[in-house]
Amino acid sequence: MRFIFLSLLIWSLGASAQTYEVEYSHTLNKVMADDNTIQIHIMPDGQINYQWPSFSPLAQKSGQSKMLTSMSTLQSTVKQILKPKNNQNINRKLDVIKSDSNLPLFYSSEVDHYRLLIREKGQVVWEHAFDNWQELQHHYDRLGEWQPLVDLIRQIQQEQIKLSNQAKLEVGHE
Amino acid sequence: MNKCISVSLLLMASLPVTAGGYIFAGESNGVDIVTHPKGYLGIGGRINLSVCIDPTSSNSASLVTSVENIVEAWNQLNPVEANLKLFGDNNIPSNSQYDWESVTLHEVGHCIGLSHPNLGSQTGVSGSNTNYTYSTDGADNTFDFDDGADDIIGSSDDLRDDDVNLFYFNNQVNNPFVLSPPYDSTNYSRAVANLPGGDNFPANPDRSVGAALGVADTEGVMQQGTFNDEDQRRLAADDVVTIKYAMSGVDEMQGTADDYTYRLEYGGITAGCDINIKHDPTYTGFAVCGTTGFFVSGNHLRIEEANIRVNPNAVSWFYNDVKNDLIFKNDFYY
Repeated sequence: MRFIFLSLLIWSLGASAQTYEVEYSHTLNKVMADDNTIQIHIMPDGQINYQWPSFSPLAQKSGQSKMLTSMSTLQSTVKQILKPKNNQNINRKLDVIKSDSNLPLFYSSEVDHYRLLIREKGQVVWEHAFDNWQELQHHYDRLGEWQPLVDLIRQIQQEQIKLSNQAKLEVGHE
Repeated sequence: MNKCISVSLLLMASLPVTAGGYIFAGESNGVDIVTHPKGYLGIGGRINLSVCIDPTSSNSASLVTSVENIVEAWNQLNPVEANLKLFGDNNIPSNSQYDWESVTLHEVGHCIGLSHPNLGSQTGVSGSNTNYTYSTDGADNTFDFDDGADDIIGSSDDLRDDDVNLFYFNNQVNNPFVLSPPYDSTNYSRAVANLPGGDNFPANPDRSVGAALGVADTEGVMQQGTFNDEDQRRLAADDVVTIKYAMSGVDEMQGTADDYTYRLEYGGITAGCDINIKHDPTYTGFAVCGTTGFFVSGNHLRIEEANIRVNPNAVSWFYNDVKNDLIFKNDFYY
């Protein structure tokens, strides 16, 4: 009986930990099309809604799925992003890193626009839009308390790749 | 000398020149930055650069002809007009496909130092405003946009307030679709004071600017943006002039000891080259060149590392398998 109670307690704690909703969009600005944005919306229960842009070979496969990667890992990363930071502004942090004259200059030709939005119980609790994803990745080792931001985007992108592969298989069977 | 080449040389010699811009230029590193390919040490001579397809790439065999064509295009530096082959005028079978060779030609341009001649969306601006000419946002930290009386963004009558131009144009001419030597600081500058009377800002090689100047279906390869069913496998005048300006060396004077030439060489499907192209299904963007840079001297940088990633799943790609038919040989008019 005690074992069942403990299991239920652990399960309920685990379930209540999945509280964050994540919206991610990635606009492929080099592609000149009216609709050039990938949108991924992850619900707290692990339901994921995704939409490929109309030029994508997978556009017709936009829809819903369950998370194919670990939802608890994603939620844990979100919590780290929401923790108070000594340096609240990621752009300021990046400017400081880039001003280190001992580092080689870095340039990326990527011109894409990203937007990340986190909701808790329907309310927006964190939002960030950025155009320097390659820079963030390049300077990952120096980002310190902002590393979870890169971790979260990488987790979402891994999910995107798995969804793409799954959709491609489905397209292949048609 | 062949008569055809003689006539071409004569024609080119009589034409004015406009050039583009360089990666790393801006408020942080300096507005006068000129970026050179890997291997340039500030002394003259020839730089050899290997261009390879990463062996872990998907569809690597289908990329070979395109990469060979890209290498040839950047070696021959032969600018053409009407370098946009659209819809029925190209060998792309479906109008829903995007041309892998055209996109990667553009990325290789970044990997040898060239920037977008237009602002591009990496500056944080969006929509048609990305077509304004490459600049900083000036002292007010805000890009200023007014497309002038012609309603064409990126043209010579744009009003840009305190935005600082980063685009090299030919003094007193300001037309990015024509060229003539010498490709150096005697003929070019960034200073808007050197614009012809009546011009407000340097014009960039956007296709709509070209059309207004009487040069149809022509656009700088380095201009940001790719349309479906669009073959842009040939360089335009601005692409060629910008790299040739860099080749005038750290003194920015052609005919001096620090001038250089470069030669790209296709190194096969292998790793560890100077420019590595990876057709990478783990990349979720479209196409990118990532580089690192070091100062050579003064305002001059060289690239140290250059890697291209293209997402094989981003769009429905067309992989050209036809070798290009450029007829001019490398360096013939430099």
